[in-house]
Amino acid sequence: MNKDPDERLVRACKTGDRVAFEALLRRYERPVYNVAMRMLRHPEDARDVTQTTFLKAFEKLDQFDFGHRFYSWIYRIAINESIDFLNSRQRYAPLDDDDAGVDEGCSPPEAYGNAQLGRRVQAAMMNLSNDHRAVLTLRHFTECSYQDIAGILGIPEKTVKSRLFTARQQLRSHLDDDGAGDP
Amino acid sequence: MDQKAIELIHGDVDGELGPSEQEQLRRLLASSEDARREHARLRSLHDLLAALPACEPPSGMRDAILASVPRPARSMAAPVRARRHSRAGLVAALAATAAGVAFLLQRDDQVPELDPASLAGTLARPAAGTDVLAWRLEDPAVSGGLSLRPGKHGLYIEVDLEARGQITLVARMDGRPLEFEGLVPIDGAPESATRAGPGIRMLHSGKHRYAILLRDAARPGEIVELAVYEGERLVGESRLVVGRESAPAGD
Repeated sequence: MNKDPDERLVRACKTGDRVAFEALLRRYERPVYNVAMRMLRHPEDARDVTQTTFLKAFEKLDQFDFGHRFYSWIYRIAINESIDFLNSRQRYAPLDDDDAGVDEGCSPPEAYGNAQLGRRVQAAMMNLSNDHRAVLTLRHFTECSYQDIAGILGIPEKTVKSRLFTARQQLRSHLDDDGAGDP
Repeated sequence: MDQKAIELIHGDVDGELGPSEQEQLRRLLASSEDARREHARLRSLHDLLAALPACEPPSGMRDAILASVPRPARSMAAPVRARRHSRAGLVAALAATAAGVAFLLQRDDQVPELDPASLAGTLARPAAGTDVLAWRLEDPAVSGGLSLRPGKHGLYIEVDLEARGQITLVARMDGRPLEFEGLVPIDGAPESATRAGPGIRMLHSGKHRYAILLRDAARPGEIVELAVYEGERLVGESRLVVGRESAPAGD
């Protein structure tokens, strides 16, 4: 990813340029929403977390360190918000959806097989711990390197590798159990 | 396989290997059947995840975010949160409710005073001594009361209903269905509660008192339309005025 356009936009945002904020939003709403979806599974929850992520980013823009990349920073907010959301949900009874379409919006209607597979993979991912799911999400659903992920999650690169290894082992095991075959 | 072999295999699939490591991997794969098998399995998992379609953000999300961010004056102001609520505050409020206490009291300085004129034409009536307006249901199958309270983090429907079987509750504001977030038992609870279309569907097994949290915010004096169904049968509809947050004893 090229950081220069982001840096320009962030600097403009800091001066109150609303158009620049909208440009950042256009650039990152989809990847941030996808991170939230992979972490949370439910579109409604992902929408809420995406919204909070951008609001927090806007709130804290003055604290943004230009020594870091904007995408790392906003992914970190998205991951943290997702985990906070999941932790808070464990403390009261969330409502389940009556309909099974929890990942609607993640696939074109004609790709029925893909959608089915997507649901199974997402269900398997939800069996992972938040830490493992975060690493897997950042590696496979964004273009983050080991170094990026280490920076986003604030962990050593070595830990990224070991979590990624464990997450993949567990995901494969869950998919096997689910009858998805040996991917 | 040793740790180094695993790192090489995963590093290759992740595109993280430099030239010398790629050479090490080549030698490893040439000499180890286990390594070749693991490499193939990992590549297959990688391809599977890469083939999953990306999720499209819901329409209107960008506009909602932009609407939540204030227009800057000379300096960046703190954004106004249009609808998201603090989960920590919510949890605290719900914990208090679950303990049988009234909802946590969090004053909102922006809450306007109730204008009696705005209440004209509603079916709701104020409960004695408070601003809470309640709807009484006197149906043979479903009886009890419902009222609405704003919290700092969302709108709550307080439900005290006696029924047996499936009850569905739909809430609307200006014709728009409101979204249900969660349910907190106060004195008993339905056996199940799920989102169902625009409403919440619950299985009652007697008299239960509980609170339902809506995602949407509302202020005292605003009107919310509620409809209650028993199975598919419409039991009743009412326009309720959102009450004020309850005050602590002695306040």
